[in-house]
Amino acid sequence: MNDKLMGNSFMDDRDLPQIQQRLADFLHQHTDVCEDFALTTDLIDAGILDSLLVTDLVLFVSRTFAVELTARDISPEHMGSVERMARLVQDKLAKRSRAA
Amino acid sequence: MQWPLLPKPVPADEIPFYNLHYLYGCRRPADPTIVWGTDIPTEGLTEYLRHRNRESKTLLSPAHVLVQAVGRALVRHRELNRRIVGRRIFDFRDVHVRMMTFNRQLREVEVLLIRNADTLSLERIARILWKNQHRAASGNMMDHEDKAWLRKRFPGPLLGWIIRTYLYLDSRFNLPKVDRIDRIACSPVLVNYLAFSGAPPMRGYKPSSYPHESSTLSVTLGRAEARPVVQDGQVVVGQVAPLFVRADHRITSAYGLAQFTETLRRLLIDPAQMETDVLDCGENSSQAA
Repeated sequence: MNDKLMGNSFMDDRDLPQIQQRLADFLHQHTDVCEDFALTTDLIDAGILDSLLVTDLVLFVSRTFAVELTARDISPEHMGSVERMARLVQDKLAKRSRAA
Repeated sequence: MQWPLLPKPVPADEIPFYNLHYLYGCRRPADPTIVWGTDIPTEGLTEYLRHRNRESKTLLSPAHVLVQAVGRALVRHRELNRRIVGRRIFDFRDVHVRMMTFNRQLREVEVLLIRNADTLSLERIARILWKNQHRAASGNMMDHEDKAWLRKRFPGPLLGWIIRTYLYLDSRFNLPKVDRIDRIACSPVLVNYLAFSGAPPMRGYKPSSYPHESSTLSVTLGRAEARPVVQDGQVVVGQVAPLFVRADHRITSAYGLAQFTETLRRLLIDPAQMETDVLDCGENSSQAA
C-alpha cells in the first residue's frame, strides 16, 4: 500500500496520535540527531529543522496524509514541534472532511 | 529585459595593479580564485533566531540570515559587487544575491536570485526562499521550466549552439539580461548553506568557479558543531560553523577578501545589528521569484 492510499483510506482528523507518530518517525529517519525528542520538543531550538528537511516534510505530508501545506504553513507556529505539525495536519484533514 | 551592469567599465587606473595582472594575464582554464576560510561561533546566531522565531510568522533559519548578511556585507564592500567582461570590470547597479537550493527528489540544484538583498528584512528573505522551496517541492523548478521553454523553441543542436554563442558574447560584451535566459548573471555572488542533516563536519570547501563570468564570489556556510574553543584563556566547548569565501583575484586581493570575510563574520556572530539597517519596501518590492 503506498503512502497516499494509506492517507486516503484511514487517516482522518480524529487520528492525532497516529499523525504524531508518523511525523515523529519521519523526523527520526531523516535527521542525524542522536537524542530522542518528545512530541513537544522545540525543533527549531534543537536545530533539527533545516531547509531540505522542511521541503521533505511538505512532500511527506502531501503523500502520506493527502493534504497540501502552503508556503505560509512553514512557520514556527506550525512547524515548531511534532505536536504542532500534527495539529496543522489534523486541522487540514478536518477542513477537507467538512468540505467533502 | 534589463541591464544589470553600469554602461562604463571601472577605469583601469582605479583597479589595483595586482588585480590587473590577473585580469590581463589569466586565460581560462587558469583559476584566478582565492579562498578564505574562517570559523563562526554560532551561539549568538542561534539565540537570535530563537528570539526572532518566537514572534515571526515565517520560519527563520541560518540560511536566511546568511543571505541577509551577504547582502549587507556586499553593500559595505562595493568593490566586490562587480563583474568581469572580457578584460574590463563593471559595477553592478544593485546588490543582488544568488542562493543555491537543492531538490532531493529531482536531484537538481536551483539558483534563486534575491533582488536587493541589502535592503530586505529577514522575514522577507525567508518568505522568498520558502516560497521557492515550496514550489520546487511540487516539482516546479525554475531551471526545469527554463530548460523546457528553451528546448521547445530551440530544438536539437540549435539550443547548444545558441547557449555557446550567448556565453561567448556575454563574456566579452556588456549585454542586457533577459530574466528567463539569464537571471543568474545579475549578481556576483553565489551563496551556499551546506548544513543539511547527514553532512559531515566541514574542514575545507572550495566552491567551483561557475563557468559564467558573473560568479566572482562564493560564500559557503557549513554546519555548526561542538568544538573546543578558547574563551578567557580556558578551553571550553563551543558551537562553531565553518565559513568559506571564494573570490576572483582579478577583482580583489587577499586583503580585500579578508575585510569582506570579517564583515560577514561579524554580521553572522551578531545578526541583530542587521535589524537597524532594514530598508525593505515590503511585500510590493519586485522579486523575480
